[in-house]
Amino acid sequence: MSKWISNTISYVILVIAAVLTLAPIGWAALTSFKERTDILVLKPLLVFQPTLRNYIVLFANEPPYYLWHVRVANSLFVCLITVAVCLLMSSLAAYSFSRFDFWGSKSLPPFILSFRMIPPVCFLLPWYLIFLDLHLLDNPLSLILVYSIFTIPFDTWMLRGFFLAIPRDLDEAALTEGYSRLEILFKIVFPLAKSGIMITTIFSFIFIFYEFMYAVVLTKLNWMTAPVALSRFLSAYATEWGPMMAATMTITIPLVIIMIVLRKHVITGLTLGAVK
Amino acid sequence: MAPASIVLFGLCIVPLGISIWSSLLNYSLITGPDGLAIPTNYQIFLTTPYFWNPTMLVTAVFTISAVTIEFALGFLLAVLTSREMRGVNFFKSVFIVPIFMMPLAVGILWRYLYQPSYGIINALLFSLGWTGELPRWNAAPSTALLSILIADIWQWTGFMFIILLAGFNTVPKESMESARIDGASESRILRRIVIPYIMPIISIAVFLRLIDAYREFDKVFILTGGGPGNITETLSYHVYLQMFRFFDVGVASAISIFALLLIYQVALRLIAVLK
Repeated sequence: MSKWISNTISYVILVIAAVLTLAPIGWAALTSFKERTDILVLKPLLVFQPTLRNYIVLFANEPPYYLWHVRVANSLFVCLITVAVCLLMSSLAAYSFSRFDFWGSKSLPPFILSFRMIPPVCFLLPWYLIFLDLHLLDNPLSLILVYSIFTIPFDTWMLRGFFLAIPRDLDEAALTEGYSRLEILFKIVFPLAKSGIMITTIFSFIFIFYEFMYAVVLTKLNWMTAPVALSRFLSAYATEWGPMMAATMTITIPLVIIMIVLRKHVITGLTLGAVK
Repeated sequence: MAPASIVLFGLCIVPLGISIWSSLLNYSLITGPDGLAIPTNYQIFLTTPYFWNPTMLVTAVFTISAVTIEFALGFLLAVLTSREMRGVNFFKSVFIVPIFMMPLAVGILWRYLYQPSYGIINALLFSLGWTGELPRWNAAPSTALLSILIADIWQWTGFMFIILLAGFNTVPKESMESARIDGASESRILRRIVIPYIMPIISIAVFLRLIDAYREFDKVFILTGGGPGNITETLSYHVYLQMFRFFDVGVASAISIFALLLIYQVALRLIAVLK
C-alpha cells in the first residue's frame, strides 16, 4: 500500500475521531450561549441570537442552587489544602521509599497503591457515620480528611517514581557537605523533580476537584462543592441546560487550556508514574 | 515517611474496621445498629438473584467492555499519531481533552446530548434519514448501558491513548529501523517488536483503567440513576442505593467489603498474569 494512501486513510480516521471528541464540547459551548427557547427546539439551531444570560445567572443569588462562584471557591479551598498537605506528607514518604532500604521499602509501595483500588463506596458509610457523630458534616475538614486517604497513596506512588529518577550520588555529595536529609529533599531533589511534582499536583488536584460521591454525601448547603452544585441543576421540574452548560464551560475551559499547553509534561509524567 | 504511614493507616484502618463491623449487624441508618444480623447480611445479598443479575452482571459487562474498547481505540489512535505526518501534534492534544473534564460534567453533557426531544444526537440521526422511532438512549432498557458506555469511552479513550503513545516513544528507534531495513512490514514491526516491548506499560494502562471502570459512580448517577428499573445499577451505585435510599447500612457495608475483596483478587490475578 503506498504511503500516500495509508496516510490519507490515517488522516480520515484521525479527523473523524477528533470531530467525535470535540463535537460534544463544542455543542455544550454553543448551548451555553443560547436562550432557553433556542435550546428546547426539535431541530437544533446552529444560528441563533447569542446571549450571556446563562453565565450571568450563575453568579446570581436567586434560586438557591446558583451562587456558582461560591461553590467553585469551596471546591478550590478544599482542593488546595488537601493537595498541599498530601504533597508534603507524600514527598517525605516518597523520598524515604526512594532512598532508604528498609523492610517495607519494596513491598509497601504496591500495598499503598492498593488503597487506590478500593471502591470509594467502601468507606462512604463509615465516614458518613463518623462525621455524623462528630458533627463534621458540611464542614471542609471532613472532605479534606477523606480526600487525603485517596491522594496520599497516589502522590506517594507518583513522587517515588520521580524521585527514583534522580541519582543518589547527588544526595551523597550533599551529605558529605553537611546537609541534613530534609535540606536535601527541599533544596536539591525538589528543584530537580519539578516537572514530576507539577504533574502530581495537577493530577491530584483534578481528581479531588472532580470528586463527587463523597462531596454529595458529606456536604450540605454551606459547603457544597462545584460538582455537587452542577448535579443540582438537574432538578425534577425543569432542567436548566443553559446555565448548566455555562457552568461546565467555566470549569472545563481553563483546565483544558492548561492541559494543552502542558501536553509534553503530561506525557512524561504519565509514563514515569506508570512504569514505576 | 512515618507521618504519612501513620495517617494512612489511621485513616484507612478505622473506617475499614467500621465497615466490617457494620456489615455484620442489622443496621438501619434511621434507627441505628440493632444487634447481630441473622441471617448475615452477606447471605442476604449473595442469595438475592437481583444482586447477580443485574448488578454484578452489569458491572462486569461495563468494566470489561469499557476497558477493551478504550484500549482498542486508544491503541489505534496511538499508532496513527505516531506516524510521521504533519499535524499529528494537533490530534494528540485533541484526544486528551475529555480526560480532564469532570466525570459528572461528562455525564451531564451526554445526558443533554441523549435527550430524545431536543438532543442533538437524535436530531442528527433523524436528519440522516433514520426511519421509525428514535432511540431513547439513557431512558430505554436496551440502550441504557450502551449510553453510559459511550460516555465513558468518549472520556477515557484518551487516557489509554496517551499512555500507549508515551510507551511507543520508549521503543528504541534502532530496533525498528533495522527491522525496516530488513524488509519487515509496519504491522509486523508492530506485533513483534513494539508490543512486547511496551507490555509493562500496556498492563499498567489496562490495570488502572480496569480499577477505575469498576468504581464508576458519577456517570451512572447522572445518566440513568441505575435505571430504567435497576438494569444499570453497577456495584458502586448499588451500594449507594442500599445506604441512602434503603437505609440499610448493614447490607451496604457487606456489599462494599465484598466489592473490595473481589477487585483485590482480580487485581492480584491480573498482575500475576501480566508480569
